[in-house]
Amino acid sequence: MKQKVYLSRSLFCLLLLGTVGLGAQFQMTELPLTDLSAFQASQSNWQTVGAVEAPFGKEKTLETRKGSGILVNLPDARNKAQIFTRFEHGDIDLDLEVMMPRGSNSGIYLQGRYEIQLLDSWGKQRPTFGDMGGIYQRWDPTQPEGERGYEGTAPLVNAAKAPGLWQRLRISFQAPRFDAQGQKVENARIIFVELNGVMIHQNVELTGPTRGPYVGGGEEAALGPLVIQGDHGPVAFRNFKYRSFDGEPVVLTDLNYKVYRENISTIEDWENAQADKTGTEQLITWNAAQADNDFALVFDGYLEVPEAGDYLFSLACQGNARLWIEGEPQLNVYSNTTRDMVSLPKGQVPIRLLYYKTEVWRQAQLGLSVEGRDFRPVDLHYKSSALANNPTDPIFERVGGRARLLRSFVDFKMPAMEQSKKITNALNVGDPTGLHYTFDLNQGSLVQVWRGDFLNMTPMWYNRGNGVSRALGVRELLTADIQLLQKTNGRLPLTFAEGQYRFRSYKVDENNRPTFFYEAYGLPFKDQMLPTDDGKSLLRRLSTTGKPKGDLFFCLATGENLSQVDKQHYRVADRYLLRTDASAKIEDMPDGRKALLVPVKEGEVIEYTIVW
Amino acid sequence: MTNLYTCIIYTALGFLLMPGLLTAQNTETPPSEADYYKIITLPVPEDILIEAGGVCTLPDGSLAVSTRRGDVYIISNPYMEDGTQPRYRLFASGLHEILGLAYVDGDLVCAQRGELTRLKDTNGDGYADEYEAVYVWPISGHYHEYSYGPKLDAEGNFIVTTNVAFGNREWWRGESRVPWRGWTLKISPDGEMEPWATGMRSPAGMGIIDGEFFYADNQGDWIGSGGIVHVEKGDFTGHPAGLRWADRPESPVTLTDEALYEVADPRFSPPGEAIKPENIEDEVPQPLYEVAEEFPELKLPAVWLPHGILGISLAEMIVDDTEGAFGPFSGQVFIGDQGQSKLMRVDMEKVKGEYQGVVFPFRENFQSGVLRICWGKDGSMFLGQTNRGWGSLGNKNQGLQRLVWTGKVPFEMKTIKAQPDGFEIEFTQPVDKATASNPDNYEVTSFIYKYHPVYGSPVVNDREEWIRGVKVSRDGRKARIVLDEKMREKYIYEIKAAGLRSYTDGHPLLHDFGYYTLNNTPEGTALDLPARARPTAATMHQHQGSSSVAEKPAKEKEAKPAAQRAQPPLPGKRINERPRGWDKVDVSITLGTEPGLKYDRTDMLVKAGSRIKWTFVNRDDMLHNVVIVKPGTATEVGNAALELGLKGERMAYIPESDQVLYHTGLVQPGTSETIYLYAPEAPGTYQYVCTFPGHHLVMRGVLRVVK
Repeated sequence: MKQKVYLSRSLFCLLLLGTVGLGAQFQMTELPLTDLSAFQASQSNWQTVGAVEAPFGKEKTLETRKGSGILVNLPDARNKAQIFTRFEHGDIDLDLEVMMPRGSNSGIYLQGRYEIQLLDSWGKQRPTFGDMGGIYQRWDPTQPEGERGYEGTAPLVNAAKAPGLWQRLRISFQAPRFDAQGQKVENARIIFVELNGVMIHQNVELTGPTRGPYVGGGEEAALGPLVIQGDHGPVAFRNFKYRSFDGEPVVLTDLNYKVYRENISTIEDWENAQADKTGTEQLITWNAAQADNDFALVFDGYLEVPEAGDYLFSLACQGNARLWIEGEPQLNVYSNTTRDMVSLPKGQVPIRLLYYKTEVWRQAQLGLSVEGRDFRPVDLHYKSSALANNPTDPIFERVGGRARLLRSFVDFKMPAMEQSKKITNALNVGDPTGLHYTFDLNQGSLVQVWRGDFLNMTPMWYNRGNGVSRALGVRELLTADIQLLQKTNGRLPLTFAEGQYRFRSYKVDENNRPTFFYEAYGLPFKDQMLPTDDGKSLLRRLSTTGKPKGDLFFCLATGENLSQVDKQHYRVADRYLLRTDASAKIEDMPDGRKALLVPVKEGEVIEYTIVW
Repeated sequence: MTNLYTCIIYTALGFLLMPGLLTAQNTETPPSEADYYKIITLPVPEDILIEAGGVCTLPDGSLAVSTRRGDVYIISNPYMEDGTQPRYRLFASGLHEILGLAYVDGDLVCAQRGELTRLKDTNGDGYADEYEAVYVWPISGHYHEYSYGPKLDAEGNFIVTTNVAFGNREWWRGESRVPWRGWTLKISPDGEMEPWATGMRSPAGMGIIDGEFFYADNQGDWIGSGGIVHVEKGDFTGHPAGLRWADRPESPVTLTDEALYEVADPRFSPPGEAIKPENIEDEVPQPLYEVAEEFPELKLPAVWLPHGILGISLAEMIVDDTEGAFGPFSGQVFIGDQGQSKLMRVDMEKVKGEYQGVVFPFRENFQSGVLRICWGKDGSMFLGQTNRGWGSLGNKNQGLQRLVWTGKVPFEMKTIKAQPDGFEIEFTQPVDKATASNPDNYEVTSFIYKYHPVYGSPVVNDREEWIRGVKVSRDGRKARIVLDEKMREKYIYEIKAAGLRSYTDGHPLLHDFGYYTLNNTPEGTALDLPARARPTAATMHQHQGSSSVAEKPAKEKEAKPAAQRAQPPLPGKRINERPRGWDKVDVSITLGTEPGLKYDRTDMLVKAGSRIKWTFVNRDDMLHNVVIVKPGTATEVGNAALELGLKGERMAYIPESDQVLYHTGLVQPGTSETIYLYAPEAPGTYQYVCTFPGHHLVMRGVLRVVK
């Protein structure tokens, strides 16, 4: 029997508001890099500059240009000190970009004691703790030689990009905990480390300082500065943001609840409604209703707020939930998660949480958490109240000794795009070298490249599936547009007109690597992607035996930010490099983006390499 | 069901009247399907998953199988001669959900989601090295947009059929998001595509019969039941989604959906709402044939396969061209079913230029869903199977099996042909004349389905047919049934002959019922038989099936022990309102579903006698019910539900049985039903099960009752 819930008008309005505010979050503090004032005095290897370039192929070389915004380390024989921040931290989140020149080495020491290694580990098959993003090992000098290093955690996958490209590193750290006597009661931990969008550490416990801490001489503490290593090689940083958590969290007290069973959908005056059952609890839980459905729960309690300010509340449920703070309705959600910033005064703040559920086919779920500027989100509910279903076993495709081909749908969304695009005739090619790509058979376009395990096939092969596969590893999205452009009336097209493109076939060699054959503008094309000899980059080769009429171009890349680095190299949006000997030009597209174009000539092979 | 005693008496008399059989009575267990057709399971290596999408035999005797995970395997030695093992070779891989396979001029051709692909081994090493796109058709990326084929027509063109997608707001309504979804397409070997026909919803079944293309659809919105349809150029076969493209210049279909909707109300939801259309009980049903009278291009099924009885998700069809190697059904058609893991047998004839015919059950108990079938070189049949995403009676998720005729001819209705005044059954072996000429040993019912935007259709306009008489041929091979009333064209006739016995060994028919679709009545001479008196009202009542799931208050009271109960007894097995005498509910149970024919809870514990409010939430997209039964009887009750035949749907597939304690009705997808019941007084491990045909072996749980 279906039941209709008649919402009061005010509730309906709140529903609309409740779904807004998901983007609400605390801003991170940007470490100012206009000068070195955020740091303690160091040696002159550390400078702030306006631009850096790591010439491709040159070892440990960073070229700079005057200006500000980038912190750079250029050590030499005499100047190669580390650098310490003025601020000290306990629990902290970091979000920064780092550029590693070829062969270089550095490290970020949390609290000056726990090192996240920075290294040019591009293309390494099995990274160790000493590779990019690794948690460096600990050191016991009392042990015999060869047995002094211990622990250390390798990144889950090698997510390092090519040297000279900016790499994004996000770190979430929890400092060790000490009791009133100063004894350590909890180890420091890495909550997560994410490199270039790939999770490389999750919930790693640090039993003690890693090798060669710069602070504390081996002792741990509640606070410490950030230290960046300067004596192992040049390195550059920009967009260095952090968020320190050193405040007292909000605490929930005096929580009591009322359960309602009758006519719950018509109750408007919760203050005076007749409850079926009452009780007290430590934390919020839907289980207090002792029912699966057809109930309403009202929790009343107090938040102990340590200081006045903004607090980010997150309310999630299956069913209907509403939160009042100090008597004012604040959050309202229907079978979703909503977040909002609320200003709270210092002291005891009354809250009321209403949760009701009338759809028998939903599984009850309720969770309320609060985050402050200075503390991480605190759950005001029992974990069991917010548990979702058990996850299913994932289905992964890995590559064996020969190339693995798999067609699927691919969801494509570049940051600049408003909506994601579903590529329906995508062929994913997994290579034994670990370099994989997706080719759009409907357009002859190279969609994405990535390095790592091959594909997550769970969305496609679990139960009915939705036909979509997901790339696993360090990925660069290239394009969802056509790459062969026939200029008409001086304009470059954005799509093929009907009949201008037809996919013909692909042939596979003895390693199962495909070569593609298709027709564009009536000309037959042959197209092939191969790993480079060093197994680190992807080479593409295409040509036509036909004679192009008029101006026909091949577009290597498009983007707002497209520049030539040197004679052979082009940088695309700071994300990847293209290397080609072909005579390429940068031109404007009708939609304002820039395109890197190479003219297509009969019989000539266009060859380029993608470096990421 | 005819009075059992009458039946036995007639049979006994029949035997007594036969020379040499004066004292013979066949009391041995009648033979089963396995005595005539053996199932052999091909071993599959542990690391290979055969979710079959296509099967075909290659000239050298090996078997090619394509899979839903995009692989094509060539299996050598599939016949396992001398007990040797088959060997699997991964010929090609990486395609997107292959649902067909054909061997053409040394290449393998198959349909994947968005393309008809030719796989070529150009260097002869046994592995494909060229993947050629014969034709690429548009797809939107919706999960339901499966594409099937190819089948080859006489000229060597490829025939492909395409599934519809579903709406976002109206999630139950099939729609055609991009051109040619919901269509049959003809593609020439060099890649020219010709749209052929539309009206398809989920055309997983395909076959070439008589050189003509036939397809079978799956029950769903607009499709009341599955059936086999003869598809000619320009046909519209029923589902309106593909009509969206009918006005394109290449389209041979001229019907528009506007014109169709004038006659058949699509019941679209008002803007911003999503109201799924349900069956309207009291309306005058509008069957497909009535709508076809308005639109000449609307093609009716040649043979309906009544939903739930003979299939729930029809699959590939092949013609028996084994010249007797597969038994006595040469020239007939076999069709697989995915959900019920079985094969049916169809025989067609042409009357007034149009196909019609009969369908019989043939073989069940395959290990997974039967999707693709083909002949082996020795006249045995290979069956490629899968059930991922929909579940099946056979509970394995993959399968490759072979069906072999043992050489023994089963006693079956070989075929049924229409007559001007009834039907003529032809048997595979002579029938015992006494049982065969007694009209009371037969039951004939005619019925039809509705054509409406609701998911599936109940049986409507059903009528018991009074049999005037039966004339059995001299050699005992044919029995001509003469019906009293004029035949209803376009109707489906259920013909049951459970009372018949074989002349040679006195066994009943291996399968004692079939369904004949009477599109046209043949010309010819009616048999001049005298009218046979119908029974009086009293005995007539026995013949009529129940027409509703009525509660029978007096009979179904709980058998209570001597101990008095404080709670009021329940007046039936399906109580949807909270009993007035209940001051509270002791236990509130919510039972949901999971994909693949599963309840989301399979183990529950309750105290004996407690008052239970049991809510069943159907989160699936198929019909289900919940039947609470006595310990150990779930299979028995489920089997009994299968036997209900045509009445089953009306009875919500709840058999009348003492093993059934409580039950819901058939619960529509996305809805729920609450029943109130007492946990049984006697502790034990009771069961609950879904008795919708094809579900009961997997969709069940235990209800532990403790003191």
